[in-house]
This record gives sequence, structure tokens and C-alpha cells, in this order.
Amino acid sequence: MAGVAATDETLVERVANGDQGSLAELYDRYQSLTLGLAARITGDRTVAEDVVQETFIGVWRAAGRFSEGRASARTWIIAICHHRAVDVLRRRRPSSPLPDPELPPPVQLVSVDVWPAVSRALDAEAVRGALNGLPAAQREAIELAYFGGLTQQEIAARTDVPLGTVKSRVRLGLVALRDALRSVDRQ
Amino acid sequence: MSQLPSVDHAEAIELAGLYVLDALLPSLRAAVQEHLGACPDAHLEFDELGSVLPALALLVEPIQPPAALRARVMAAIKERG
Repeated sequence: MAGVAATDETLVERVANGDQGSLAELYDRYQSLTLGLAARITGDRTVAEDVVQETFIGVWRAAGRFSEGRASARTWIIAICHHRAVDVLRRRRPSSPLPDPELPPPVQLVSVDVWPAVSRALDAEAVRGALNGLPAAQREAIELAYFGGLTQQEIAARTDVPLGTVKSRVRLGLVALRDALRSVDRQ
Repeated sequence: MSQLPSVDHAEAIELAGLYVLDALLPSLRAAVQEHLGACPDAHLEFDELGSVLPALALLVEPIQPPAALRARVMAAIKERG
């Protein structure tokens, strides 16, 4: 142990075995990132703090299932936080379908890190550059979904385009983003 | 609206982006999931597009929570044991 920090994945493993200290360590590592993300999505600092609390309770509950997934712990924690924050938004918006209580845990949503460096080496500048490189309509659709928690139907209504257009904008945008991030990653 | 839509392989791939963003209505989402569970083909698209998402979270300005939140989280964990 001599001064060597445990990896996130090791900490999740320990959490799965009921180690509260390891959960505290994960909290210390990800508190600022998760609060920043939750605040951006919900637009409300108090609600965002509740989302962070829910996120780490989720980590505590689901840690035992984490090893079945193939994502990094970082990806997994971000996905849990995102999922909870979007849940809050959709409960607030009467136009949105209520979240399905039977939804599988996010570990199945984001099950793998195709290029692990995405979670480590990439900096915000590179991601911003990649996002800015997209056609504006694709970027808008992705941002409305990820940061706005909007559904395909809501994005279509908001941007006044057919559902199929939203589908292809999101897909083409994410594919281009993947390719751009991958090429940054190789440099 | 009430019948469950059915989704074939090509459609599932088309919907991968909306699926990983959790932007599908529950019925369509369930149909994609059903396809993923039943289809023997690989669905690398879902993994690859999904792995873009944590990069988006890097765009957000981190916010340091108050110390009280840490205490609240740990108290909630202890309660659950």
C-alpha cells in the first residue's frame, strides 16, 4: 500500500465488499465532476447536490454488478450521475415520459471503453475542439440530449425537424465525435 | 402508442446514438433492448458511441461541493450498511 493510490476500479471492488472507506475515496475523487455535471443538467445547485448523493448511493448499491461491465469506473460513475440528473429533469417536465423504474442500471448503457484513454488523457480542450468541429445542427442535437435530457421527440419539437432527422443528426454527430476523439487520442 | 414496436438489426444500429444518450421513449428503448438481447450479431456501435459520453462530461466546469454533502452521503451509506 505504501503511498500507492488504489485505482478507481480497485476502489469499486472494495465498495462491492462493503468498504465504506473506499466509497469515501471515490467520493473525494469524483465529487466535483459529478456536482458540476449535475448542476449543468438540472440548473439547480441544491437539486444537483441531491443528485450527487443519489449517485454515490447508486455506486454503493450497484458496485457488486460493476465487475460484470467493461467500462472504467470513471465512465460508470459519470453514467450513473447523468442518468439520475436526467431523471430529475424528466420528472419535472410534464411533457416527458416518466422514467421507467425497470430501467437497467447504467452499467449496461455504457458498457465498454473502446479506447480507454478517453477517460484519462483527453482534456476538455480537445473535446471542445471536436464538438465545435461538428455541423451546428448535430452539435445542438447532442447537447440537447446529453445536457438538456431531452428525448428524440422533444428535440424534434424544439428544433422543428422530423424525428428521423434527429435520429440521424445524433448518430452522425456521435460517430464524428468518436472519430475526432480517437484521432486526438492517437497523437 | 400502446403496441411494442419491433426493431430489426439495421434499425437498432440507426438508433444507437439516441439509445446511449437515453433519449428514446420507453417503448422504443425497450424494443432496442429486446433486439440487443436476442440478436447474435455484434453491436459495437453501441459501445463505441456510448464511450463518447464521458468525454462530454469533461466540458462541464467542476464544482466543489460543501463538506456537509460528504457527511450526508456517508451517513446515508452507513444507514444502508
